Amino acid sequence: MNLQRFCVKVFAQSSPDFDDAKLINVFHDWIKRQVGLGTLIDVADYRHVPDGPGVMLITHEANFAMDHTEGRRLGLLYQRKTDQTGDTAARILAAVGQAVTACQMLTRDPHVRGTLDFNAGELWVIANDRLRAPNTDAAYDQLRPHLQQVGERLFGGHALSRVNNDDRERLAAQLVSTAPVSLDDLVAKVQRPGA
Amino acid sequence: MDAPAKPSWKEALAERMSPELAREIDLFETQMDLRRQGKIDEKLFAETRLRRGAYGQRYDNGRRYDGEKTQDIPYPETPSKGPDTLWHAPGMQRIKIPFGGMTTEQMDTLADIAEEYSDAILHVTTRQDIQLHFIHLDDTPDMHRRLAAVGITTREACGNSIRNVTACPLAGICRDEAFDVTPYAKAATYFLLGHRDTQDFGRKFKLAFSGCQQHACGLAHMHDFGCIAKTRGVDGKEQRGFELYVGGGLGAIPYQAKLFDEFLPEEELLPIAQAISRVYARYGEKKNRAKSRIKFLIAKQGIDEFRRLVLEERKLLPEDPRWNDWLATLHDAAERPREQALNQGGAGDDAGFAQWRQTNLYKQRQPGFVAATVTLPLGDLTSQQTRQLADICRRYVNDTLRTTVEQNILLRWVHEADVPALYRDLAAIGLGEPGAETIVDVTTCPGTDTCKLGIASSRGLGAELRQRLAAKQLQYDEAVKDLRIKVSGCFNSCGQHHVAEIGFYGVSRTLNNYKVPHFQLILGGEWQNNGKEFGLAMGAIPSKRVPETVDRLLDFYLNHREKGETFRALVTRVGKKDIKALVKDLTVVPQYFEDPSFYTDWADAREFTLGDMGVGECAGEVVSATDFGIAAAEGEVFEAQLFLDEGEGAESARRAADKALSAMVMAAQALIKLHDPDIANDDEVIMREFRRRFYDTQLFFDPFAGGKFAHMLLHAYEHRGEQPDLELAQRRVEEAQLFIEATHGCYSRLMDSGQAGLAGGLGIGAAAAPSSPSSVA
Repeated sequence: MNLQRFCVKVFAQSSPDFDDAKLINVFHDWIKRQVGLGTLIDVADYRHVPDGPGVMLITHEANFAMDHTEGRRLGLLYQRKTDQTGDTAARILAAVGQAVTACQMLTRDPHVRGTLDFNAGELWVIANDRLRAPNTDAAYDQLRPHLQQVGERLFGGHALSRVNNDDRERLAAQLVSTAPVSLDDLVAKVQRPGA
Repeated sequence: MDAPAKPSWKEALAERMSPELAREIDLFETQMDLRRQGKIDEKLFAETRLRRGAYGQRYDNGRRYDGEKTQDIPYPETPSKGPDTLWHAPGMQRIKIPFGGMTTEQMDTLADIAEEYSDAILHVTTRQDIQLHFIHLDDTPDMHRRLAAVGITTREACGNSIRNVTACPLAGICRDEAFDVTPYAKAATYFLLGHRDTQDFGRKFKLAFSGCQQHACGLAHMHDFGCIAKTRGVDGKEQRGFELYVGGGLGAIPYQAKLFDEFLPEEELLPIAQAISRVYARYGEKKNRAKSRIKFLIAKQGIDEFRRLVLEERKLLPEDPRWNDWLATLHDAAERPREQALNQGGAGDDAGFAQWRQTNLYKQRQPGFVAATVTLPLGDLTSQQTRQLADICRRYVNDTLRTTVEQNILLRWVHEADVPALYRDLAAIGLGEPGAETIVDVTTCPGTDTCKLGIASSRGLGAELRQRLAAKQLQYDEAVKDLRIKVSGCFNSCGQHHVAEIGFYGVSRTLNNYKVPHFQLILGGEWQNNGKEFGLAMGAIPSKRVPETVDRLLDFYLNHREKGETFRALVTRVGKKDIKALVKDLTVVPQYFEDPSFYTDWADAREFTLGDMGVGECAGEVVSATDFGIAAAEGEVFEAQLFLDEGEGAESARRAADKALSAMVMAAQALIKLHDPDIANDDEVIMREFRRRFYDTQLFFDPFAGGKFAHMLLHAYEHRGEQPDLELAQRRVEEAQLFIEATHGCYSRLMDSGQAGLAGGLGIGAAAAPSSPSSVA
């Protein structure tokens, strides 16, 4: 299974003070400083779309958004658009790494600090390639060993399951840690050499 | 460990694509390979790419202003995909949806490709297309194959070609139409697509079909080729045909289409379209893009000569069976509703249902059926919503949906008994918003969000206006609800601001060395009657004061209209002078230190084109002679508009045209003052100096439009003694407004580059501030 492009969603809780308009400032600032999330290009404002992706950071390699679409819950969605190096598990880990790093940066950003919190113990991994990974049992069976490898690496004990979605949607899996895990711990794990 | 790659989309879809489409896409992929190897010239490849609908997008030159300075975007290095356009920079894909007709299968595919290659957002355009943004060019061949597999081609979605053929989305169900124009729009689409006689145009060519005169749905008057359905009796039988208009268009200068034929029989539709294409290809301007649309050819030749040439050409065309073979099966493609309703009806118990039903339903001429408009804020919906909407269509209406020029989706053939259930289902996926095709339903082009030509944030403003107007919509009566607000990010009119009652287009003003986003206010346009009346500029409003401006205009209308008076009629009756006075205080921009938010556009965090200029502490108190001169020119052009309002006589036209020319000359003089503060008040001298200092040097040339605006002045001056008709006078006033905008642009560029005082003369900051120094409008 030569899958290159994955999406990762990290679910979030927001306080009533969370103002998604402030993400415009956050993402423009990240672009200005070219923080380490790839080649940062632009900000797209989709707050007018009901249950949509909200404010989106566009990079050459991926899109980042505080999204309401996937899973019908608020969370940071990382959508990979370019090919990656390494094997399948390494590509998933790289996508997770980018996603959780962005989450960590958001929790520390002065514009939204204290209004957003992420549940690092639950991740969705979505195969962004219907040709090589159709939303079928067979494709999931092919992907599962790679996901288990990632789950082991990130959480040790974990539960892996296929997301029960419309079969026209993308193949998606849920990884849930059996023990509590903090965002900082998760970031540290994905940033460790060999991750 | 990894298994070999699965077959490519090319292999996977080989059986599902038509051989012709498959071949075209393969050829495009080959051309991409050749360009990567440097074996195709970048200009040629750019036009090739554009003819596949693959556009460039903002920042694709690898540079982006971050609010303080322009930064390079470190894209991977590869050949360009066009002049100053980097291969790896994200682009936009335009997908033609002829007459807006989509199937549910196509919606599913569109949803998939938006998720995998774009940002999972589908955008409906003002010409019934779908656009996807932030696409990698390398993904486009596979994307095109997936579209081809469901019968969609992106061929000629852009470039100098026949663009998407639009049609009234109510065609076939409209209570007022002469007949269903759908099969005609479809026949024109596929007859002209890739036709050898449509491959050598100097610019794009747009067709539109309307079923009636009085509504706006088809916008026939603002198209290169606009058809309005008509019937007539011949020997006791009904004959179908079209009132055919040619040479209309918005763009920087709007042109009303000219009547080509009061009744073009249906069997002559395609041959005449072909003959017009040949005449346009042969005689149309090719070198100067700014004059290449067919409207310029027709304006130059006159409609009578143009008609003569076309009819001569028509006689020479070799007979083609495709002209009329489709007429034999004209009615076969008629839509069929679902046989039975799924529900028993009912009142609908949802809180928003009553409001939605009032604004989003259209009673079809077929008893028992309605058409339901799905409101898409700013034309956007997510991939997931698209799939869910496709399911709703399957449930209630089969494949009978259309995109609309007001950036919505229309579900046709809904059983009235299904309406409450349909609303509930739409609301459940976030698509139950009321206010479709009312004042709340603001239309915008992409503007600075993604367009390379955008000056101000049309979508940011549109979103803000939507939000504010939605909160008040229950207070509005029908007359107010029926108004349209349309916003373009620049003068190019993709947001169709000229045909709205209240229109805006983005401009920039420089105030005390800061750039301030503004929108030019356009009043007096008309959406009804196929967009027959165009509005005129009233003056620039700071972007952040546009919502307040709209409120004030609406309040004025509510409080001062006479019985049954339309907004347009009120503007005409009261006069532009008084209307301008009504909003004059809103043109004032606070000093930066008082309110910096005015210096940032909607939905943006960056200061608006601050550039690399240093800002002195006292800069806020200094206004240049050039600023004053341009402001005076704006006053002059406004007076020209007032002359236009005076009447339709030759004298009014002459005075308006003279005043417009005077405004342009004043603006040119203001610019020359940067170099020569003592420039004489002599038109001959000003023209000579403008040509020498700004035209010959190309300093005045717009980065995208080139010498277009300078040519407006030169042409107007050359023809200054001629008696204009009212239409020419109106055009001259529009040109003057654009020339002044170009003057602002040139001034800004010179300031940014430090060239404002080339001749060692007065630079900036010499004149005293007026008593109201913050007003630049």
